Amino acid sequence: MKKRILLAFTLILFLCISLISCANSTTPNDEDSAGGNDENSNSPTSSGYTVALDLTKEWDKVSDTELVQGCLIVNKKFAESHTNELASFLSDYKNSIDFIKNEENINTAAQMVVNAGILPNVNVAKQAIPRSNIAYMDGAAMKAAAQGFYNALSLNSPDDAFYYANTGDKSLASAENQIRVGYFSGTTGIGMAKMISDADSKYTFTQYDGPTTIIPAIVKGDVDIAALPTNAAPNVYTQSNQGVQMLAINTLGVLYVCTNGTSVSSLSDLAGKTIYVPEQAPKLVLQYILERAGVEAEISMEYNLDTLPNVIAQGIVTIAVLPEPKVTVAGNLYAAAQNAN
Amino acid sequence: MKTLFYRFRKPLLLTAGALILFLLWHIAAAAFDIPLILPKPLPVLKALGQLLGTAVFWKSVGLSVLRISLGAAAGLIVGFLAGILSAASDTVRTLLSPLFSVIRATPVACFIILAWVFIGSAQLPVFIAALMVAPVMMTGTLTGLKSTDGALLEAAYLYRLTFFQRVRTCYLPALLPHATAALVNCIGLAWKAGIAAEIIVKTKDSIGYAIWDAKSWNVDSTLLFAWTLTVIFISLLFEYLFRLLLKLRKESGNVA
Repeated sequence: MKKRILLAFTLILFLCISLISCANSTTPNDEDSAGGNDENSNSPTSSGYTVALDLTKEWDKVSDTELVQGCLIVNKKFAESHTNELASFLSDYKNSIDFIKNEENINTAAQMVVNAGILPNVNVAKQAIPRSNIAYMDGAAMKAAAQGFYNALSLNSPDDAFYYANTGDKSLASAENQIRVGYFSGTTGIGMAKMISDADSKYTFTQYDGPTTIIPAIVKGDVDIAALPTNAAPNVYTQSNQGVQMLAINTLGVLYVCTNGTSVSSLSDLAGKTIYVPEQAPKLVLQYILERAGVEAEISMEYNLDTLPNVIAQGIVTIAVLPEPKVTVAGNLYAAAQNAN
Repeated sequence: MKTLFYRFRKPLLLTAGALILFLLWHIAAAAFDIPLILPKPLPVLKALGQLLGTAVFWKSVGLSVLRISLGAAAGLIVGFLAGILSAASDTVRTLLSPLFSVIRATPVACFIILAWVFIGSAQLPVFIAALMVAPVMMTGTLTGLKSTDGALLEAAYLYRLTFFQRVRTCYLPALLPHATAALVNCIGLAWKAGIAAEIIVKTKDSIGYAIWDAKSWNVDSTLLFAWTLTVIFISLLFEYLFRLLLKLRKESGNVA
């Protein structure tokens, strides 16, 4: 009997060991902590983590449409009855964006963004804000840019009723009316940081976890205006029986090609390489740009938004496309790893 | 006609029950009238029908089923062997019990996050499925073996049966009801936990990834519900298949 127990025990041990080793053989995190630091010091030509290409500029080079990744949407019922208040809001919003965009205000702007909970700390904010291409577009310009963007990426492009025409008169705005605005952490919220800091009694700002919670909120009418990635807006429009409208564009492109251990100075340098992208939006944008520029490269979605910054910072992959603020986060991870050496 | 109704009354009643569910769903969705939050059943079924024609659907479903089945099988083997060892030796049983208690007590989501760092997105659902099955199988095997009829064992000793003959006549008949019941219980759990793991870590080419994608990129609740229906359907299919297996065992008699 004892012999059989021993046999069974060794069988279990063998199973466990094989399961664990099978799992470990493909873990990126484990591999790098042993070899990552070595790579950086051994390869003489490796240039460390670099933000190599601005995909917004690359997009503009190959297309006459614009890359617009962040916007504000408004609840349609609210918009129909509050045109003047919205005109006033948009005017204040434009001022807020102009303030934050201004390079001289970067320190104040960074602090405002952090106080609003939009970015994690001032260090990240100071680097991410300039790279987030904050811009203001409304009315006809917004409609043209958005339609160009949707058509370029073959996303479903809504009809004209989707776009809010800013026809109100802000001088007629009733001072009583409260506008409730929702935002979440990330580049789509940066533009309103000054308004949040000014704390005008006309506006109430609520922070949400992300698109998942903000979308039902604006569709149900818990908030009147919400910040959202541009690619999500048409689907919200269709799925809510046309219950929302696009109010303004607040961010151009936020995507960058980042390299670690290889040198890329132009789009053509990407030919024949493998580029890692974390999710659908970066993948579609990159594919569009590469196609228009006639550059052939392999695109891999092996790592997602949580793991890719780590992976590129440690040099496990050499070329990645990341959105802000992940671009800055990856840079900080790399710098921290270098300092720890 | 009447005899037809009588013969097929169980399936007919089941279908009627399911139809009532769909009707209630439709009424709720129509009343709420925001497809983003609660889509109506017909568009969801249409979306599901469209999905069935895509290669991505079958690839994701196939790989998810494969992953979780592998994990469940591994958990089954580990749990079974641990159960046998625990039944054979009290020392082993007491040594193993803290481990299995911890596994039973920890919430699945905790395990997912903790193990993600070590195991990586691709293999995590396998591990989680194994983790769900192993403790239940161990307890089931242990209880089964412990419930062997003492008198039968004495008789076996008197007749000087070999070890294998004892296994066949005493241990196996006692073990099988408990072990199979444990298995039927935890197979649903393994499937649900495995899909949850896939959603959280976004395993590539998996049902969980498709669910996450439908929610985050497409903002498409209809698609989301369609995938959820798929998950529910496969879970029910698994349970049904295992019950069938159980019935076959019972009919053929447990004595090998």
